[in-house]
Amino acid sequence: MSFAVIGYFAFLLIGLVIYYLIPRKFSWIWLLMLSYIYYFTFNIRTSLYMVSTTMFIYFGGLALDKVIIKGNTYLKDHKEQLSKEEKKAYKERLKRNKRLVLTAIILLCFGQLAVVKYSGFALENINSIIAMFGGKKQFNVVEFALPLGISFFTFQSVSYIVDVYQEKYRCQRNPFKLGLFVSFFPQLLQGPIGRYDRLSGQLYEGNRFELKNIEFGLQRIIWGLAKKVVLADRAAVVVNEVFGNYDQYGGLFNILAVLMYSVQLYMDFSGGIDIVIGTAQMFGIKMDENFRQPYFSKSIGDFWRRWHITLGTWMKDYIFYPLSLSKAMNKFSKWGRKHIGTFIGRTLPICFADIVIFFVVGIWHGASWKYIAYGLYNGFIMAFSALMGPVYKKLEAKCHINVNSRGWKVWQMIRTFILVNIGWYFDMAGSFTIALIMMKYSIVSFSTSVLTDGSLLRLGIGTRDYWIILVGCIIVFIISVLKEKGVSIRESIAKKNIVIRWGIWYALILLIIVFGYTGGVQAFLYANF
Amino acid sequence: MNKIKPWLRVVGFLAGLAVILSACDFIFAQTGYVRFILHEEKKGDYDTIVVGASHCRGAIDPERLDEKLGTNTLNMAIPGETVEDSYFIVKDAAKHNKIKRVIFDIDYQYWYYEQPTTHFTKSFVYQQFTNPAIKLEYMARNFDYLDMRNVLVNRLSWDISFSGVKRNIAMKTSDAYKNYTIESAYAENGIVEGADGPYVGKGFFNRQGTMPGKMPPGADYVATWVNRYDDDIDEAVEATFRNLVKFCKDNDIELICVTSPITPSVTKTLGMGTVHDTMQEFLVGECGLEYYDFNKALMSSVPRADWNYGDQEGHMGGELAEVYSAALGSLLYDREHGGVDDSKYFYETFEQMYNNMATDYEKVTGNKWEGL
Repeated sequence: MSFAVIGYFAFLLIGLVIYYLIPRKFSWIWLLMLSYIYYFTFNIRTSLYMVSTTMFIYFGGLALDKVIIKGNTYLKDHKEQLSKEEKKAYKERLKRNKRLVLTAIILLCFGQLAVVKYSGFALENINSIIAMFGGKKQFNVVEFALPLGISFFTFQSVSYIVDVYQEKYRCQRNPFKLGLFVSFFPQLLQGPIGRYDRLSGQLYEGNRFELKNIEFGLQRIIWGLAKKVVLADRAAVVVNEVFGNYDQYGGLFNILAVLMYSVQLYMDFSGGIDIVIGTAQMFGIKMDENFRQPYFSKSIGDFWRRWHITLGTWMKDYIFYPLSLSKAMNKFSKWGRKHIGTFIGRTLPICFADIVIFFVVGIWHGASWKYIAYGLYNGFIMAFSALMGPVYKKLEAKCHINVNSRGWKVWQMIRTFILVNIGWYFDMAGSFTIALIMMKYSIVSFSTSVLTDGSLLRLGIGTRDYWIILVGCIIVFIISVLKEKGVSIRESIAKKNIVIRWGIWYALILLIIVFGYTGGVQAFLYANF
Repeated sequence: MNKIKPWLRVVGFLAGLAVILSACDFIFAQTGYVRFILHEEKKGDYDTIVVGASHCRGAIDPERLDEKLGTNTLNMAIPGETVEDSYFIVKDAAKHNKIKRVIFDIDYQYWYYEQPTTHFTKSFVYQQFTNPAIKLEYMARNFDYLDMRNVLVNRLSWDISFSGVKRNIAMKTSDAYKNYTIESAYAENGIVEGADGPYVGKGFFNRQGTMPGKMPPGADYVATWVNRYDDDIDEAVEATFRNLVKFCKDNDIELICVTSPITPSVTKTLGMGTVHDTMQEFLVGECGLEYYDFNKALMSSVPRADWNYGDQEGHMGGELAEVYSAALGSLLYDREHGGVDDSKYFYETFEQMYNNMATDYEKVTGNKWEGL
């Protein structure tokens, strides 16, 4: 059920009324019911994957808790009797046992994800390799119905089990409460990837009714819908036309399409997240932000700290740190410092971890070489930038560049925006090869005549639509500048007098109705991941 | 008081929004003949209604049926009317009239593929309903499709231009609009806007055909439909139709299915024989209904050439519509008086029709057959 249909608003209304009417101690049960009902509207069968993931982390959490408590109790009870070596040996054994349980649960969660999402891709590639070497055996490729949001709830669940392993908090002993954490409906389809320690209290304890939450939540939903239906769905027409018929276009068409894709993806994903956060806020639940003006980034690293923030922090906490701080990496770093030099020796493990992380980010997006290329493209840029850091600094000093000047910062933003857009070719094109072909033809068949011969108007949208996209982007740009400066737009609006305040929200609602793309609301892009 | 104040603000905001949206609808939403037709049904003295889409709109003249059957029929076919729309139209009509019979025109284009969920037509007919109960049921059935914006306002009919606003205000303050006369559908020189012809009565519009000897336009559109009828009927459409069958059964309404004939040459191009077999199996075999497919009507029963149509897709011109409606009336009369003799109206097979239609046409009309 899309966020823009009557059913969602009716569902939300009924959900809210009952949520605030029932005693607060039962409100989590109602939220759990709502979440599953919501998921059932897409597909009842595939919701079993969500149930199984919940079961994996529930029993995994209990097992870990048992090992931890047993171990800690033993150590506490035998504090006096055990020697230092015995304590160390016991702790090692304890760690091994915990790790064993953790590995099993992670394998189950990711194994399920791998089978459902990646097995077809893997088998197709194995078949191609076999055929390349003249083999005749081919494996049957089974296509599974991809459960919506499986990557999101799997990653969220893994974060819980790793945190329990790390003893950040005790496990949840009520499977239904844990089920709510995994399935909380607003975030199911496109995140943000929530953390148990920040969400559990808000989910389980219930929230008192506050009109401000409803008002602000609704405002955020309206803002998200405006971005989605006015800008993203309109830009999507050009994107689909050019990327879908890539052999008929080149030059400025391809460049325009990729620029439109950067508009579409940002407005679609951030608009969807606005709706998610707004919906949760209406229930009094504060979710993590997922965007912070990403197109103002000054480097690719900065971009990934501003774009899909919860995925970035997940990667940092659960892959980057464990990997870069692992024993193997320490050894590698020591070896590098000794043989290659201090700087490179220290930087190489970080570069390696970056590449691994972005390989995972790529494959997280989907089972295709183009996504792997997309991830690695970002990873290699990050690694290259890290290695070239001192060279850049020297160059800047030699050229007398004031790195704190506004002009330099703007240049960095433009440079990063271009790099990000090159990456979008991989993300949107039908395949890795098509992405490369489109990149090639963006340059080799470049001609400015398309700007004047009216052919841009044959991409499915007219002059009015281009104007709407342009003006819309300018509005979002101005708002982003204000947000970047720390201005809270909604708080500022809330302080205005009633005529201005209501006028703004009425105008926004009318904007959605009048300028919302009439071809119908398209599905959110990130729901596919 | 302090506790009530915020709630008063909420009510005030919502009331303001309702006023703004209603005002927008008033000045931007265009009106047309669909509003007129849906109001005609509220006169309440019809015993037969015809539902279907654009092919049926200009094909069945209720007057010709009533002459033969002594009934009072209203043609409620609307261009873009989906099977689901027809279900709601029948329900709405049954609230205001003692409907004894529904003639359902099976337009092949609406059965094989469900209309895209947020397609223009999908919510267009919904937006024209005024009965809150019908609207609510429609919403409930389409809760996971229906765009919220289309629920709030009739935005699919909006014309946001100065001339459009001026025209809308002038029309909506006129007596024609208030009294639901056909003039409220912008009839100019007798031609009703969007209906491609003058209004004749009882929901029938006399559509223009093509000049004799000239081929109707629209070959490109027809080309997009070639080979699309080899599949089964769309499950969602099938389910909706079964609801209509049940509704008619529960309310003692006789449901008769017909297919108004499309351009003869296109019948062959699109392989209407396959469509016929599929529909026959479903309507007669599974639903237990009667089905009369005039795509294979004898040339002696409904003499027709391609130029009798406004386009190749099959929108019939008024001249042929009168002939076809009379033939349909005659068939329904026979049906009530001893039964229908198929050989009087239909070729045995589509193959037989394709082989004989040119010569039969020339024999019956004396005109030269000029097919596509």
